[in-house]
Amino acid sequence: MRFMRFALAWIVAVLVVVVSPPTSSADPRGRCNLRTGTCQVASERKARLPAKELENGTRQTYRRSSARSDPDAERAEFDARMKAYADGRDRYYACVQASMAVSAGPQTLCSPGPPPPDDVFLQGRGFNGVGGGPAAPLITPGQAGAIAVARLRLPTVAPGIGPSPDLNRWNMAAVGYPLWLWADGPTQVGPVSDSVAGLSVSLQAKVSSLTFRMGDGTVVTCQGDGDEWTKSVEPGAKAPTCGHTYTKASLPKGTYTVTALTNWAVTWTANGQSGVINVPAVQTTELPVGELQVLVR
Amino acid sequence: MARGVPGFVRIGAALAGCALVAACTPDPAPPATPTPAPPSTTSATPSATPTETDIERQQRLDFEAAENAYRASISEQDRLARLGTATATPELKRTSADEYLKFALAGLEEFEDAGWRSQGDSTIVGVSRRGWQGRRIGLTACEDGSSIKIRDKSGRDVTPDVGRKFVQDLTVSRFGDLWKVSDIKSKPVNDFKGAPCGS
Repeated sequence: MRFMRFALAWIVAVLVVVVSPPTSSADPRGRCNLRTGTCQVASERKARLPAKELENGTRQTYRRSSARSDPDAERAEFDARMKAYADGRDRYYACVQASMAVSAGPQTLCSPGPPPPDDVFLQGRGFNGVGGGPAAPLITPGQAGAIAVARLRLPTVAPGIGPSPDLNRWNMAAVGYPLWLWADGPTQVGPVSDSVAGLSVSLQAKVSSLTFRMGDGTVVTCQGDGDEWTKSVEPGAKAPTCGHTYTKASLPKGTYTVTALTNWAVTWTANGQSGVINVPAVQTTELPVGELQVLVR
Repeated sequence: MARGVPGFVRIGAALAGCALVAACTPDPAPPATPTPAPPSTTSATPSATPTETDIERQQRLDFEAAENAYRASISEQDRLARLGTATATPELKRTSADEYLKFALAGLEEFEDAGWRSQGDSTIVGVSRRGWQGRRIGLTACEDGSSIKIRDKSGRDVTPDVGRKFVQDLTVSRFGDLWKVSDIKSKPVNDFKGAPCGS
């Protein structure tokens, strides 16, 4: 009887495997090849790499020195790279902020500085945020926090402008009509965790302020993420925290380019310490603004 | 200003407000300016305006460079698929990196292993800009591989009978002075209606 049960279970298992419908190769979250139409879904991604790809620059390998002769030198190199990254990041942020001002200075590009040391660098030199000892340079919580923040992928936040021109027959905003401005998208992230050289880092990000360059020479800066306009807003009501009213039309010549700078304040916490690093993100949109005449009889 | 004017202004503003959000009737007079065409969301590069700021100019240059890298990567992948080879050429490495490079090579490997060669090129219906974060740019591309034929070693047509239209969310990252496509997330579609990158 036991044998019969076992045999029956085995037969059922085989049938399930044989007759199960093939899983769809199309997964909205996968990576799809437009030539073959096949998709690589997350669970099927292969770790192997083609041999021809194993050339310089196409694959990261972990370099571990067999005889690390000078951990102090490695520490110094790491600290220098972190300083270069932090200085570059701060300069970049200041440049972005300055560029949003009405009276911008000489025309210079805001170049992002060098990236922070990555896992290849850290693991190749045996950086270890826990334990330590003379053979394993420690990474400080601040450094781990900075690296984790650099890795954090923040959501895209679009400039929210309401009421939208799409709501009226003329597809435009109107001179003299108060517009509401806000961050259109997720404005808080986390808490999320990352691990940098063995040190656990917790991150939480929030939109701290918005700066809108309206395209007509006006810059609007607001604390927080603004107030979203909805259809329940009384027509003509001004935004409580973040808004703008155009005094000149862009039409018929064209549209105003509205540039929105979203300032993310990212709080990192590691090993009982914490700090805040600001991360800017910029998006633009085109806004047609016209004049609306109202006849009075 | 005459005493009656404030009342006129308030009424006028209320009517204008209703019209702008299509909330009430009667409709006011048509606008003084002609109805504009909707702003383009495709890859047309806007020309610099007199009021373009540093950041706007940088964004524009970065978006252009990112899109150029993407288009060059697709073009190189098409070329390699026609040759039936999976090689990380200098051009491919110049324009692609990380997960996207692995993905591109995996697709070409499929051709090489099977002895296939493609005929025809990919069609990029449109590219729209999704976001900019300094070292990282988001693009959405509408890709159509419907016109590509695949032939095996004997010349037989082995083109798969499957849909080959995708809305691709691309991440393009900066490596030194170069922008390279670094990741991709795909959504198969029947058509590109409503897609931000659709023309």
